[in-house]
Amino acid sequence: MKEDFEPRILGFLCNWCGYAGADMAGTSRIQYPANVRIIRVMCSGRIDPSMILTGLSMGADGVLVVGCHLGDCHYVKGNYRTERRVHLLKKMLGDMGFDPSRLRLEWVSASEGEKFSQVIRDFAEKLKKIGPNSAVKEMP
Amino acid sequence: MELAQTAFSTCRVMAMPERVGVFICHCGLNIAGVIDVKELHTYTQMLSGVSLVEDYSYMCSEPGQELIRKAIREGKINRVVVAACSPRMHEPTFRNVLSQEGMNPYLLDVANLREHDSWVHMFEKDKALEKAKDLVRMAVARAAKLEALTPREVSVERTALIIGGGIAGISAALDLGDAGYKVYLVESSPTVGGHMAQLDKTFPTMDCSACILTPKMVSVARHPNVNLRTYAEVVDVQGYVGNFRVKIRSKPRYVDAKKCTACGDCVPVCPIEVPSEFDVELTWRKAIYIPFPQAVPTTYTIDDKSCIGLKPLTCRQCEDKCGPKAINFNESEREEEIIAGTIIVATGYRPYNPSKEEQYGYGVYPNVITAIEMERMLNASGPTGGKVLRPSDMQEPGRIAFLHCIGSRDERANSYCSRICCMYSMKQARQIKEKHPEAEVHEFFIDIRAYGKGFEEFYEKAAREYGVTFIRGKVAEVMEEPATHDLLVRAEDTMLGRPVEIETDLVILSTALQPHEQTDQVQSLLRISRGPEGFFSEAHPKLRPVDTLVDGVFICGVAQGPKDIPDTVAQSKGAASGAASLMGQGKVTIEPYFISIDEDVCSGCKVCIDLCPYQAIHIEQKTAKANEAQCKGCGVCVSSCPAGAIKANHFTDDQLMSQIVAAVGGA
Amino acid sequence: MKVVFESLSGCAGCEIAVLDLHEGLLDLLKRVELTYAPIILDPRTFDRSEIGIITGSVRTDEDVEKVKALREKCTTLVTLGSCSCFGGVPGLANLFSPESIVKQSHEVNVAPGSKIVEKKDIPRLEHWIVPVDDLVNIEAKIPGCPPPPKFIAEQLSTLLNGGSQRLSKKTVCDECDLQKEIKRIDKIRRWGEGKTDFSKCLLEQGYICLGIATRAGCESRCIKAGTPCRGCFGPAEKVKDAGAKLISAIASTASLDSPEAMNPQQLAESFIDVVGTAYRFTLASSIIRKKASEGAAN
Repeated sequence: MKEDFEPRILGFLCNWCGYAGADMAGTSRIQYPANVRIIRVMCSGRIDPSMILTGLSMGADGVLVVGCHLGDCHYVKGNYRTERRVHLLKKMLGDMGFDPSRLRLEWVSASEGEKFSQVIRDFAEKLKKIGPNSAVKEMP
Repeated sequence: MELAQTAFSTCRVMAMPERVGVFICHCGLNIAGVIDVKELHTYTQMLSGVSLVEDYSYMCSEPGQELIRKAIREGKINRVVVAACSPRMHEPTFRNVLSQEGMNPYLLDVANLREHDSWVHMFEKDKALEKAKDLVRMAVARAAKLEALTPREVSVERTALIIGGGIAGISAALDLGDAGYKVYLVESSPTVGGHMAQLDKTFPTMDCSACILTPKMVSVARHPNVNLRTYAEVVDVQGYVGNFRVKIRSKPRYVDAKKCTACGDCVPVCPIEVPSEFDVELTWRKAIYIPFPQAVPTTYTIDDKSCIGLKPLTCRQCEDKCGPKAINFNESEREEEIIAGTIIVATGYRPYNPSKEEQYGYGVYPNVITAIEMERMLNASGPTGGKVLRPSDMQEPGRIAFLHCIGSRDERANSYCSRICCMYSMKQARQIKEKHPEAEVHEFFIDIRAYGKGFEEFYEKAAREYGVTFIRGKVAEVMEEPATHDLLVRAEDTMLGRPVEIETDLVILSTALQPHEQTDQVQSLLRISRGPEGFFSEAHPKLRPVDTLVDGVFICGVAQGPKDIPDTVAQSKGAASGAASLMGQGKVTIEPYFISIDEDVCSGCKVCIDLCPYQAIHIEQKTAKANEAQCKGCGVCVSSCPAGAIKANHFTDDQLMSQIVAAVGGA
Repeated sequence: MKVVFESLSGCAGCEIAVLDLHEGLLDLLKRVELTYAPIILDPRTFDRSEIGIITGSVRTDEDVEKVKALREKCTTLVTLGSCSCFGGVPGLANLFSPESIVKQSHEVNVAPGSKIVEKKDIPRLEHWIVPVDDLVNIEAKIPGCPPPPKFIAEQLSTLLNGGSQRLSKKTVCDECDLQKEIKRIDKIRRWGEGKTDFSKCLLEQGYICLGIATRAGCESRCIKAGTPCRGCFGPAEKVKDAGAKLISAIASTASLDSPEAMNPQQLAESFIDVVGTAYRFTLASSIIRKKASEGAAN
């Protein structure tokens, strides 16, 4: 593992909680590593496993899905569906030879700027230890 | 794999026929101070599909907006990307700009270079710049795939539903009723008035609470536009802004409110006594009761949990005694459905129960009481007729201690400040001193919060003229002398820097305000969010303090957070104003994020049907159909449709995929 | 019109399906000249042809050459069967490296006392199986494992008439007669577990039926035969990765509120062999398509 490896994290954040929480980290000027690239969706339930798989197949070292805390989903139950999909997808990723911890699910509310920044810090650290995603290099 | 490697040439990108205009905002130095905007500008010009790049100090300002308008007018662009602050901030602003020039407002995307980049990577400028390039590239890719959408306009019913009949609900009901709107005011207890009806005097003016409240209670009951539903609850809410279908369930009183004269003849003959809720269990009431004499509606109610006259037929003494023959044991629950255009939540609070704070002995030592219990004692129509008595021997106490911040500012209970306790404690202290000038009254506080109009003066007077002793130190422990039930209060006097022990006859706990018990229910009915302490969340803490994120639903009073009566009334006027503004226009536009289902692809598997929390999908002739009015655009059905038959407007698979490819494809 | 068949690394089931046209074959042969078709006919070479039909998966370097040769010599190229369309069942070999495959078949699985004879002129295994349309452009796909003979006849007929192929945009559910209700799955059951109601949707009863995520065209033959769909027709028209959609749909239909509802861990545990079930025929054409090398040793 190279010393200068900076993991590239693809983030899917729901508009009402995750994205707002990341905004809160910004307004509070909380500094965190620049590894994540955020895509906004209205609900974490919008996220299709194929989006996560595309990200990984194209070389994202980690994929982060952020939704509302269970029970607080702006659309009632979307995050419960996300939770189940992610668990099943992690199993599939493990069977496909990926470290399942490359896919990470977090619940961050709109007021949890500090938590969001901590998630990025922690995820980047863990991904550095796992190493770069080699999927792309080996594409046929 | 270096993040720095964003060389666009290595990215597999399809040819983009759209002409995207990118407008980079410096946001003063907020963005430009960290991100090299010139470099970003140069990079952006090379992106495929970009036909114009501008950068400017404040894109949201008039000249900034004019840059966009000009580019559209001159036909140079047909898609817009603004690289600036969070879209949650200014997406509506820029959408308006597009509309003004006749371009569909949904052909805009915003790259968040501020909250997600310059503000959080201030000391890593190189990385911030690389991230900015990626974010702009992602936005350009998305913009090229955006489609023109038409927002839906729906009509707004000119009826407001107000949940909660305390001062907040009453105030909003009167304002809206006066403005000509129809109002349904739903209150779960048998009378309106809420907690304010329990109070004796109100700070800082020392107005008699009942005197200022009861006229409003009567007005709201008599108001031609207000439909009062007491002893009732909202049990179901469907629909969306302008068209909420609400089910109200009215519990049976077994007393006909129109016939009851409140003469009270039924009371002596009723054999059942239960603790009185209104008097905070300091005294009893009968199973047939009126919460307090000035209750509105002015009628007795039979509490069917305590009454023994219902099933099977046993007692019924009250029925025999009732002159007007108002009692009817055959009454049953009534459910009605109404359509409301707007909803105001004014559910108020419940006081904190300090029983679990064993160090204070509430519930164990008879002479430790809460503030609301003291309030009922001070009230001339309360259980002690206005006399301040200590529960153990019903004697007047000579020494009284107020303990502030019980359940507030406490990590183990609630970390917030309940805002009104300092004031009400001082109010009660002054009232005690008025009745017993010789009494020794101590107030143990952490800070005195006397922030409002006339509050500081009130505090000064309490200390100087009334002779209340203030000790800065939160009480650690209250101990009891078992024989006399006298109490010993232990605290640290932090100003003198030494521990202090005070002997006292009566301890009053200034308890916190907590969200009302039915807050959970209301939340699940309306899908509005609550903060970590349980109070309902406002849409924006500064600029939208009475709106919620659910269009058409407003919050006011302590339901939104602890506050006193003037602030409550001000907020309820704000909520009424918000509701009136929606209902006054008679129509509202809804974001077109709803789904569309391709019936040529849908195979009727029904995987989606149960997933929709708004029941917006139904089957018609074997395939699924979407109800655009009900759909809120969450997209859960879209991602689970195994046939790929559902499209999420403005968040299509194509659009999201283009962002993913642009984000990680630069490897 | 000259038609050729080329067989890559397959089981010959598609060729048998063509032969299963029975008398229909005679009608077909009236319209075409079948100049080259291993397994069916003798000839060893072929020239330029109008239609080239490929069966089997691209497993060896010889397969790659065959595909390229066919593309050069044929105007219209058609992949017949799930192997050539999506990689098929052989595509599941993408979970293993060629070295470990050879080791398993030639060292581990052999009878004791056998000797391996090294031959240099045997085609080498490609590192990964890919669908044919990853190597060359194709004009039509006839999916299925094998495609039903009637379906083959219809699709070929369209092509012979000079038309472009029209595959169904719908999924197998459209052709399935079982009664469908809302989906709330409390438990995932293995096929054969419990009592199956053959009048109701199998998925609702907890059996994993891939019909929801599989293109229609087979007239739901497997369900009619009393077994759940296994997805041999590949993804629906609008979908790239059928397995991902299946995972999404199964997870989404897990019930939330019933007393027996599974929590996410239980759901994942009860879905045994996610890859083998969701990607049985389509692994090689899916998004991830092959095992990442950071995985545990095969």
